[in-house]
Amino acid sequence: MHLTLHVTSRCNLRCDYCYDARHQGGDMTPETMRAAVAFACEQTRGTGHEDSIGVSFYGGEPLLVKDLIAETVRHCRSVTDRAGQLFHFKITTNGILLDEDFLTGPDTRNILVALSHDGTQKAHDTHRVDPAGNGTFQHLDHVTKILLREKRYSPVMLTVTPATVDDYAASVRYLFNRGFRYIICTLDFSANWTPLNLRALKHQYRRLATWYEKEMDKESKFYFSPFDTKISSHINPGSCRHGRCDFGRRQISVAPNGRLYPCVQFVGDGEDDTYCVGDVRRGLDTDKHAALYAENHAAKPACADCAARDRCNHFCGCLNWQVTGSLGAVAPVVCAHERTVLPITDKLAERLFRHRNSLFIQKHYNDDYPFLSLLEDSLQE
Amino acid sequence: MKVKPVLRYRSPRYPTREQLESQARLSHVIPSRWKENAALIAILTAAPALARSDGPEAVKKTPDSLVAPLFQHGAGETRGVYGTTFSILPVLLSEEDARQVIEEQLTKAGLNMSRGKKSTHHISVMTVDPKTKQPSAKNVSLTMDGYDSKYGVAYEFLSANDGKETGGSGIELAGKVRDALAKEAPVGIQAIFYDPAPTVYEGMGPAGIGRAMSGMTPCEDFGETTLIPTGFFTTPFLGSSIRVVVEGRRVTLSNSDGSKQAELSVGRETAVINGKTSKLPIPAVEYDGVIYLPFQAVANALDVAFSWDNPSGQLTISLPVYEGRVKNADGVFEQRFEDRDFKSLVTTPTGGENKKLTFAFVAWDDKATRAWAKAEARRLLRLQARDFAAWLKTQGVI
Repeated sequence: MHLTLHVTSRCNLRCDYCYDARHQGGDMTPETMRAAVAFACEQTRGTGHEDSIGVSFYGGEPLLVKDLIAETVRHCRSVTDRAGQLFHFKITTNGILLDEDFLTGPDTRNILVALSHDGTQKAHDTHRVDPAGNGTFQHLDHVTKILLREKRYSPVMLTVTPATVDDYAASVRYLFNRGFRYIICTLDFSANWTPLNLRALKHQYRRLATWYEKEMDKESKFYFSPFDTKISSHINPGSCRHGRCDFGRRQISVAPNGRLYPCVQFVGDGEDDTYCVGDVRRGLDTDKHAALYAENHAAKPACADCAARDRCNHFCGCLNWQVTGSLGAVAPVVCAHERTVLPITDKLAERLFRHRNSLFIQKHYNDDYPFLSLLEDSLQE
Repeated sequence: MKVKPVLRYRSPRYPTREQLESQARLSHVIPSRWKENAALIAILTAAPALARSDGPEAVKKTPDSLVAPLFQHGAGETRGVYGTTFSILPVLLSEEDARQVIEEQLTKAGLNMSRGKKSTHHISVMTVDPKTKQPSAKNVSLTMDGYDSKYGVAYEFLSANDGKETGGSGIELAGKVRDALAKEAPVGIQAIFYDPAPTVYEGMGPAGIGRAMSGMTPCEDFGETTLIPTGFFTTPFLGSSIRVVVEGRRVTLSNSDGSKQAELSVGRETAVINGKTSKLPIPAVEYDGVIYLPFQAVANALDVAFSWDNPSGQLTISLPVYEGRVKNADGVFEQRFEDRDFKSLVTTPTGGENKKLTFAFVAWDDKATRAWAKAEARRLLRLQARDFAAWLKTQGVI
């Protein structure tokens, strides 16, 4: 069970591709936070998944409410002491307010930090600007250094838009060269992707495949989500469909006001009723949640004859909704993206397997790889 | 823009996890850094995760360590075994020669044996002290000669001198080292090669050892002491007119109607020719699994006509004219020679055009013989490497 706490709707940036551009939901109160934690404990009780609840701090920009974050960690710690329930924490931040105090503070040092960063200065400053319209790339230079110094496994989240697609490969390489080893990329699917943009995207993925193979040959350990998820979707059939939020079954989002949503993209200011599936105080509206889940998982007629549908994101209701306004209407741009990335990835994986690339074998076929990799890193320190 | 279903999509040519578990052993394919990390090796050895999927059976199927069997080509002998007539002239490969032969062969199989840092294994080998003849355990640090980190494949070449030092033949030592290595179960795939050390024999006279192989150095002379492999008499050209029976170290040859017969034994200086004991100018010898016969004595005994052209170093055998072939009781075509008078030309089994059957022989001069023996050593070592590459394929490694 993962609980995504939208601890605030406010944000100190004005990224033009943000799906919560209004930022009018206010801050979460400590009471709502406690109710949310209690809700998560209740939801996991007896399910067999109560080992550790993941708590993600999300926004808006969650570091605008650092005190609430610290209070949440302390509260969860008290729940652990009292009831034995374990928690682990993550934050997704734009990094502007990230500092050493947060990275090393007694309450916050164990929070995994995922940084939103779009790569090269040209790409990053195209969209990620402050309220005055100034790019924030330079500011993140120092932030990146201290983040990777304190937390070397920090993921970085990169968003690609038609305006930045030509810098996609360069941005990934930039982030990799800065030291990030978990590179999560997504497209701004709601943008207007032209055929020209999609051709550029294909070119960028080919360049990225070359880069990926070279780094694998050098035995560099890293994760690049577009390729690694697609490779996994073949090696572990079904993983593509069930590895994500599963529309509120694995992860549920809590708006600042305590209302529950099946995905971060529906939260907004917490006033939407269509996709609200309950409230932390009153609990989950299981009927509505089940109905939305069923709507999302219903077979997509447009994809019925597709040979690649089991490895495709067409069932991701949030992406579909973002583009088409409907959970069941598959977004053509998602389809185009999948048709682009899948064959490039498979050819890459075929080469790596044919050459018996050791990291490829270990990363994708060995359950113990994360542990072994971590152990190796620990022994090197 | 519209949703466009992919109507056909080829299944990727890399396995699913389930397929991998049933078809290949890849637990040894680990990053080169891990191989130098004792803690990781210990964990991988204790819990080969790639193999561990659904229980103990899976673990049993995919061990984390593989040591290839010994591929035996060449006796690896460095000591005399055939009595007092012959003394030993071992022809050994240098480490550099051996590496070149092995790696040339493995490169053909797609391996790069210079990829990655060579590993060292500490093993205990039982040896016999050459002086006291007492067995004792010897601790050996074995630094592998070549390593391919991509496939996790390493090899070690044991020179014939290694065998000599430990009081046994190269092949014996190689077997012991191989077993000791398997006991240590190092991560990855290991192979042991040994110096085939084909021995050549001194004191055989001017013609020395004959090999029915064209392209070799011709004899300087052909005479009573020229030896020829037994197999030569079973070639298609001769096979139907001469019957050869090999029982251990004894060879019996007879013509098709049994009227002529010669019986020779390896190392024996006499032969039974048509029921009578006759002294041979040179005994039959055996090495590398092949028995060599004194050609002239055998040919005379069986009335096989031959001629020798000294300048070209070619031996010409004359055979009866082919007249036809019939099916035997098993339905297999066989040759029959009706004319018992040997003619000057050789015929092919198909009864087509007449051909002369010619062979070149290695002269018995020290330089040429050693060159031949070295080529033979390389050939045998190449066969070891070739078999190893074939074995790797059967294991799903390459």
